[in-house]
Amino acid sequence: MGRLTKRAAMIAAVLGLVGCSGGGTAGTPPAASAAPVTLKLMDFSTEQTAFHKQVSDEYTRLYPNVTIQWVSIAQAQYEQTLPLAFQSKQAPDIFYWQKEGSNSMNWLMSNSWIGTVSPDGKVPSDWTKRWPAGSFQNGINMKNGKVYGFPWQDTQYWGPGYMYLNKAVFAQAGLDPNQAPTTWSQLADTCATIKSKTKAYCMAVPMKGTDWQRAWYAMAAGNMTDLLFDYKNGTFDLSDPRMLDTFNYLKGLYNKGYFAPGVQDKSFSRQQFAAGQAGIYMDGPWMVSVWDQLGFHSDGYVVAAHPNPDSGAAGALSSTNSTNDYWVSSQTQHAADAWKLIQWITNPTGFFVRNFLKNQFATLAFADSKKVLTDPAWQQIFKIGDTKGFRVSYPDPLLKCPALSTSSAYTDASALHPNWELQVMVDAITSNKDLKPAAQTVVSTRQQVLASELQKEAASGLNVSLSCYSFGTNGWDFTKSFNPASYPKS
Amino acid sequence: MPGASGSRFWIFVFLFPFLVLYGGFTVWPLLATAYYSLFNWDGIQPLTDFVGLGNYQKIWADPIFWLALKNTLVFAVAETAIKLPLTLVVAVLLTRRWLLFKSFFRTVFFLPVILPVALAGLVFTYLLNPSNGALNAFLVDHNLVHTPIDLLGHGNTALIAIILVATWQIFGQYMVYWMAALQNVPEELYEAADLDGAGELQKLWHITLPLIRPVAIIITLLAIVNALHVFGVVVTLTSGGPGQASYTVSYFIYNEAFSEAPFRYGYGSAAALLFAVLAFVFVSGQAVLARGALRRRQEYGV
Amino acid sequence: MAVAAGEAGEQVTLERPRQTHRLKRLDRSVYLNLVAVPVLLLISFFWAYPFLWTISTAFKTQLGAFTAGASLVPHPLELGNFARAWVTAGFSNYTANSFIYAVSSTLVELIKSALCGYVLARYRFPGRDLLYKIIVLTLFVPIVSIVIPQFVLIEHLGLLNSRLGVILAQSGGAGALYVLLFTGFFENLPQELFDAARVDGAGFLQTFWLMLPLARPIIAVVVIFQFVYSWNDFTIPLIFTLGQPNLQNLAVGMLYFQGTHTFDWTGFAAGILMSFTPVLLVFLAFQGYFVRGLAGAVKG
Repeated sequence: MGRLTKRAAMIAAVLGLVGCSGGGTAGTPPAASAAPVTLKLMDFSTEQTAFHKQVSDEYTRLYPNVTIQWVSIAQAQYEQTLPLAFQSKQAPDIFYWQKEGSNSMNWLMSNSWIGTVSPDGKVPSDWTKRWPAGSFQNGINMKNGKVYGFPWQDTQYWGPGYMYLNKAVFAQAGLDPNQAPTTWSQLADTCATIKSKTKAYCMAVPMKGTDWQRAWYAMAAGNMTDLLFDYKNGTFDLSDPRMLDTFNYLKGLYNKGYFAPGVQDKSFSRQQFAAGQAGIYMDGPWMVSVWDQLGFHSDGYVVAAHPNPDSGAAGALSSTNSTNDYWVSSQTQHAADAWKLIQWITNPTGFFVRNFLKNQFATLAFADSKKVLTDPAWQQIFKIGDTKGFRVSYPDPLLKCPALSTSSAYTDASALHPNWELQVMVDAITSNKDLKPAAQTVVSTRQQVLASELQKEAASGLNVSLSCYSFGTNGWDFTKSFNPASYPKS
Repeated sequence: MPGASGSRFWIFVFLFPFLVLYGGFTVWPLLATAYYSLFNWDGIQPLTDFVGLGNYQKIWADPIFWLALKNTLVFAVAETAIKLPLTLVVAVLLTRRWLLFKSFFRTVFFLPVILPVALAGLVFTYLLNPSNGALNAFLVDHNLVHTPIDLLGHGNTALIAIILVATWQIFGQYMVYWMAALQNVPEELYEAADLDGAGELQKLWHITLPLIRPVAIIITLLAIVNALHVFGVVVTLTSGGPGQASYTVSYFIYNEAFSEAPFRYGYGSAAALLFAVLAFVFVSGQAVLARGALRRRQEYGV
Repeated sequence: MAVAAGEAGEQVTLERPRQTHRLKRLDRSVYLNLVAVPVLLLISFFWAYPFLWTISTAFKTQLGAFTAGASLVPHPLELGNFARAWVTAGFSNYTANSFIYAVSSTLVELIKSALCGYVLARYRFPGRDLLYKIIVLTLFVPIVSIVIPQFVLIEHLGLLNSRLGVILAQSGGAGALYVLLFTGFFENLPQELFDAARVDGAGFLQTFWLMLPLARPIIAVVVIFQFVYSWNDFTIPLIFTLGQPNLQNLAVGMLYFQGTHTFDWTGFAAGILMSFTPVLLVFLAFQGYFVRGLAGAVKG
C-alpha cells in the first residue's frame, strides 16, 4: 500500500512539474493541454486590433499549440451580439463586460455567463500581489472564496476630471498654461481673457448625446460628487443645491460665450482643441493617445486638475473597484488554457503590459504604469492623480448589504430614461431654462422607483433597504476615501 | 376572372415563396414582439416576469413618449409633404426625352441613398456647425446672416435640420419610385397634349397624376410609413437632442430599450406596437379626410 | 421635297406641318435644355457636395479634415487612408460576401415579390383581401426589435453561421413593400393585354411570362433597392455569423473604424468610397430601365 501511494505521489509530482512548464507561476493544478487549442477573446477595443495581432503572434511563438483569436467590434454591436452568442452556445473563451459597474460579477453570474478565473477558482498569492491591497473583494470579483474577475484598469489615474490647456491659445492670450486656473473665478477670468485677446473659443465642451458628461463630471466633482447619486444621503442628486450651483456656473460660462458654439460630439470638440480653435478641454487620460493619433502631441498642451469652487474643494472624483473587465466564460472548453493566458497577460513586466502601455491604451491596475508611460503628459497626469483629495475611493452599497447582488431596484431606477440627467442639463443650457424643475422631476421619479422597488424586495425577504445606499452615518463625506473597515462584518 | 383549378394550383405556387419567407421573417417576429411586450424581459434571462399591459401603461403615462410621438408626426407630415411633390417633379423632368445628360443627373440625385446614414450624419454635422461649417461660411460671406446660425444647437431648429437632411438622403429613393410609376404613361399622350398646346403643369395635372394614381397611392403610403420610422438620421445628426428636443419614437424605443444593459425588450416591444397602432390610426384618419375632401370636390364639380 | 400636282399638293400640305412641327420640337428641346441643364448642374453641385466632401476627406489627415472646414482641397494630402481602410474593413475577406448576399437576396426578393404581386393583382382567391390588408398593416410596425425572433428562427433551422441563413434573413424582411409595388403595377396593366393573351391560348404561366417584361421599371426598383439595402446592412450579417467571422460582409467591416475612444473618419470615408462603387454600377445599369415605357406594348 505504502509503495503504491509513494509511486502515485511521484507520478503526481511529475505531472505537476509538466503542468507547470508554461505560466510562470507555481501551483497551476490542471495541466494546460498540449493539443492544438484556439482561444477566442472578444471586446470592443477596435483601436487595439493591431496590438492584439502582436499579442497572439507572440503567444503562439511561446506556445505553438495555442492560437489566439481576438475579435473586437464596435461597442453598440458588441453589446447586442454577445448575449446572442451565449444563447446559441458560441460564446468566446474570454470576454469583456463592465456595464453594471461593480455589480457586473453578480449580473454575469445570474446569467450563468462566467466561470472562475482559474479552473478551480483558487489563485496563488503571488498573482494577487500584482494588484494593490483590497483589489479582490467578495461580492465584487470574488464569491465564496473563488475568484471570478480581476481589475483591469487602474482607478487612481484613469477617469474623467482632467483639464487640458492648449499652449498656443494660452500664449496668444498672454497667459501661462503652467499657471492653470484652479478656482471657478479664475476659470471665468481666463475665459474672458482668451475671448478678448484671441480668435479662439475658451472651452470646447461637447454636448451631443452623452458627451456633456465629460465637462460635467470634472466640474461637479469639485463641488460635491461626479456621480448622479448621492452616496452620503442615499438619493439621486441632480436637484441638490450644490449640483445646481455647479450647473448654473457652467451655464453662466455658456451664456457669456465662453463655450465653442454648437451642440457637438466629443470628436469634434477634441479636434477643435487640437487645431487650436479652443483653449480648454476637459476629459480623461485617454486623450493623450487620442491626440497622438491626430498628430497633436504633448508638447502642444498642458494637463491640469479641474478647477474647484472658490471656497475650496467640497468634493472629489469617485473611484470604485469596478474595472473587473475581462471574464472567463462559462462556455469555454479550455479553462486551463484561458487561465494560463490570463496569467501571462497580467505579468507586470511581461510582453503584454510593456506593449499595451507603449501604445498608451490605458493605465493598468496590475502594472506600474508610471515606469513605462514616460510621456510628459502622462507625468503630469500621474502627479495630478497622486494629489490628495483629487480622487477618493467611494463606498459601495454592495459591500454594505451583500443581498443587493440579487436586487434590481437601483438598476431599474437608473435605467429608466437612460442619460436623463445629461439630457435635461443640455436642454436647460441650450434653451436657457432653469434646471431646477426638470432636475426635481428626474430625481423624484428615480428615487420613487428605487424606494418602491426596494420595499417590494424587502417585503419578499431580501435584506435590503434604502439605508444600504447612504453612508453619511458611517462617517463618510465626499472629500474622504471610504474606510473599508466601516463595512459591517458579514 | 380566371378561377379554374389549373389557375388555383399556380396561384398557390406563386404565393408560396412569399408566404413562407414573409411568415417566417416578418409575421412571426411581429407576433413574438407582441408576446414580449407583455413581459419585463432583458433579452437574456428566461421570459418569466409577466406584467400584462404594465408596459403599455408605463409608456402611455410617459411624457417623453408623447414628445417623441409629436416630433415624429410633425416630421412625417412635413417630410412627406416636401419630398413627394419635389421628387415627382424631378422624376418627371429626368424622364423627359429632350433632356440631355439624364443618366448623370439621375445618378447625382440618387447618390445620397447609397451613403450610409452614419456618414451622412457626420458630414452634415461638419457642414452645419456654427464654428467652421460650410453652410455658415457661405451665409456669412454672402451677408445673408450676421451671426452663424446654429441649426443643431436649438430644439426647434434641430427638427427642421433633421427634416431637411432626411429629405436629402431619401430623395433619390422616391425619385426612382416615381420614375417607375411614370412608365405607365405613354409618351404619345404627352405629344398629343403638346400639339394641343398644353403647358407642363397642365400635362402633370391632367395626364400624369390620374394615370399613375394607383401606384401613387402606394408610394404615398410607403413615404408616410417610412417617415414615421425615421431613426438613422436622428441618431447620427442630433442623438435626439439637444436634450430630448428631437426625440422620435424609433429613437425613443432604441434609447429606452436597447442602449443600456440590462435591455428592456418588453418595454421596447410595447412602445413599438403602441406606436404602430397610433400611426395606423393617424394615417387612416388622413386617408379618410383626403377621400372626404376629394368627394366633396367632385360634388362641387371643382 | 418633291412637289407634284394633285397628290403632291396633298402631300405638301400634310408634310409641312409635320416638318415644321419637328423643327419646332427641336428648337423647343434646345431651348428647354439651355434652361434646365445649367439649373440642374447648379443644384447637382450642392446636392452632391456632401459626397464630394466625403471624397476629399478620404484624402485628408484627421486634423486636416477638421480644419479644412468647407474646402474640398486636401491640405495636407494623405494617401494612406485607403490602404489602412482596406485592412481595417477587411476588404479582401468581405467583398465577396457582400456580393453573394446582395445578389442572392435580390434574386430571392425579386422572384418572391413578383410572383406574389402578380397573383394579388390579377386573381381573386379566398383570403386575398385579408392578405393584402395584413401586408399593409405590417408596414406600420417599426422593426427595431425584430432581430431577436429572427435569430431564434434561424437558430432553430440550424442555419446559423451559414451564408444561406444570412440570405434568407435579408430577403425575408422588407419584401412587403416590393409586393405592394408589383401589385399596384400589375393592377394597372390594361385588361386588353390579358384578353389578347388568353385569346392566343396562353395559360397561367405563359401569361405571366409575357407580362413580366412589362414590369421592367418595378424590377429595376426592386433590384436597386434590395441591392443597396443588402450591401449596407450590417446587423443581419453580424448577428447570424457570430461563430464564423469570415462570413461577414463589408458593411460589418465598416464597424471596425469605431474605436473605444475615437472614430477613424478618414479611414471610414476611404472605406465607403471603395465599397460603394459596385452599388453605383448597379444603379447605373438599371436606371436605363426607366426610359422605355409601355408605349410599345399598347401599340402592339
